[in-house]
Amino acid sequence: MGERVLEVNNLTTVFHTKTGTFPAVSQMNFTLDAGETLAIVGESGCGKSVTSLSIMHLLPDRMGEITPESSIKFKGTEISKYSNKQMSNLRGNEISMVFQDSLTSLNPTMTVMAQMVEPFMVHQKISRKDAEKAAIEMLRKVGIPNPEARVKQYPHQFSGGMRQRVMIAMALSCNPSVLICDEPTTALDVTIQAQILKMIYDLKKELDTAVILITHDMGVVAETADRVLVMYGGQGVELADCHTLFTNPLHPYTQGLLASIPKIDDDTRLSTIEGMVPSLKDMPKGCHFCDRCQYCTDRCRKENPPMYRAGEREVRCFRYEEGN
Amino acid sequence: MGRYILKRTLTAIVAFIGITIMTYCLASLMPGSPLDQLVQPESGISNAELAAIEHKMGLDQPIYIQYFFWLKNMFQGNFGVSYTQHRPVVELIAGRIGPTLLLSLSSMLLALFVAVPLGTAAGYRPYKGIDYASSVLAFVGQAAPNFFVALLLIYIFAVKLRLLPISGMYNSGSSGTAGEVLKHLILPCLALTFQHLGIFTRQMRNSMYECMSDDYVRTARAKGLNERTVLFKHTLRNALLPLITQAGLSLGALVGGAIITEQIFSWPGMGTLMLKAIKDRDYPLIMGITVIISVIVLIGNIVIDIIYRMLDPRIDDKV
Repeated sequence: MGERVLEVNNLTTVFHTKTGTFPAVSQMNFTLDAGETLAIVGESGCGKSVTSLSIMHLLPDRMGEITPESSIKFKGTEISKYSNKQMSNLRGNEISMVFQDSLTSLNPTMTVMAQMVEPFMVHQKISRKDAEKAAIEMLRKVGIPNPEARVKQYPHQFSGGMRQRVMIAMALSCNPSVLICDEPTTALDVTIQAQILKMIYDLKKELDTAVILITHDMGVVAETADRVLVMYGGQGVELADCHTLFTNPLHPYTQGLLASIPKIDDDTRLSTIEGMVPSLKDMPKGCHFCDRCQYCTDRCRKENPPMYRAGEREVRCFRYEEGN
Repeated sequence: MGRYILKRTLTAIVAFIGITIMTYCLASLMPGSPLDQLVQPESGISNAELAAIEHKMGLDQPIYIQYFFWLKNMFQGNFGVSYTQHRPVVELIAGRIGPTLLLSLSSMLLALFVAVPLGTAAGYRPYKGIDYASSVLAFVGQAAPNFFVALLLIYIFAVKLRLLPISGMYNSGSSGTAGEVLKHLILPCLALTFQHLGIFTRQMRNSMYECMSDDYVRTARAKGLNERTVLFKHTLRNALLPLITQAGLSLGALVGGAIITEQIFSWPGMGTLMLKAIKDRDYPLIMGITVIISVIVLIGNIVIDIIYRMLDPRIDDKV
């Protein structure tokens, strides 16, 4: 693995709402090395997207806020307290992001060309003409046929898969060190999904970009990730390399999650995790998973466990406290 | 684009015919007859003579026959002769259409020029000072009756401060320079603008507010664009779309509202002419003015649709 590009420590993001302030993400720790793919998995609302939006400083205005004790280091520089202006030099240049819904994420009233040239012109300060050439080159790279003609069209004239290719081309145009993909294939057909994932993988190899892949699809994780961070209730609960996680999950939530993937050669009833995900507003005081956990103890209800190291991996559960 | 304009024009013609039928029926249903105005009761005119006049004017025919006569003449450019003013309707309207267009269009433009920046600022920084200020302005603008605002403006600027003329379009005895007309235009234009300003500002504020949380705005920020580019290049154009629709809807109300405003300020437009025509049961004049106003509104709507299409490329494929 290459240089450390991203280091997130104790990231806590709170949301201010009418009913009060509550943490959407708390005590997140993870690192990302150049060329590596880290998958962040978890159910809807577990804080995957908030984590990535926090890194980008793109939380909803006036609502989301990164707390002062959080630390986000990009290539060794602390960026968690960066101003909007300082961040805009990084965004789209050093750290890029691809969003889930490519139809709403592209501007409907601007041609693809007008949107493609922007990162080039803003970050590389090149002329419009050169930017247009570079944009067409980038679109060719992501597999858009006949890009010279297609750039003059508007997003609604592209298919879902093609639009997501445009989004990826746009994100990669300034050769960023980190690419955050927030459920990039969720809105796409399965066949297109595979193409897009393969393309991200190939481009990542070619450009040595580190990728954070946010998904709730364990199949996608197994295919693409080097390491996996499992999230539950706004916290990371298990961090391990991909193979280890799938063969030997440690955290009870990870175990439940993997057990609830349907298998084609298994006739037994599909297992589920009992209970409901607690709302972020009334998280249990102790371990966030305690109400649904079969190993739950009194201590779990009172204290929130820290991330324990177990060799190369980390897990947030008292069962793996040193000495156990 | 050419096909689209043709299609819109054809539907506008159908709408236009519908409008003339409705207006003709409504005008004929009004109590009283044009003869009441023409013939004084004490003049001792005989019933036979009355019937002769009625026949000469075509008033003894069934209403649909009257309408078809009128329609045929209209397409030949003949709107008939005013019953009470005894001059061709075309001639009467021609002298009045300029001032009405000047008043309506200037207040439409003024409303847009104020509403777009104000609504944008309010929607960009919602629940802050400028947003609350624009809300108050909008509610007052919508709630205050047009004539009241007009009288208030006259009281303040013409009577108390003596800055602007009370009424008319020129100084008496003058042929009217552009500056003079402009000075007379200010108060009626403000009165007419005020009403639409509220709706326009609220519409702009709301669509701006909604657009700011759209995904493509987040994408624009994720590209590293500065806020000015995000706002003016990415958001504003999308936020303008609902306002354009609103402006199209308000066009009819604007020309209609001009009738009251013109009356208060003695503005020599079609409004004053229209009121007199209705009072006199002057069918040819009522119909003539209705035709002109509906043509103005229909053309205005086509223009608005074309602007909308130029701003929103998605419409292109749906037609």
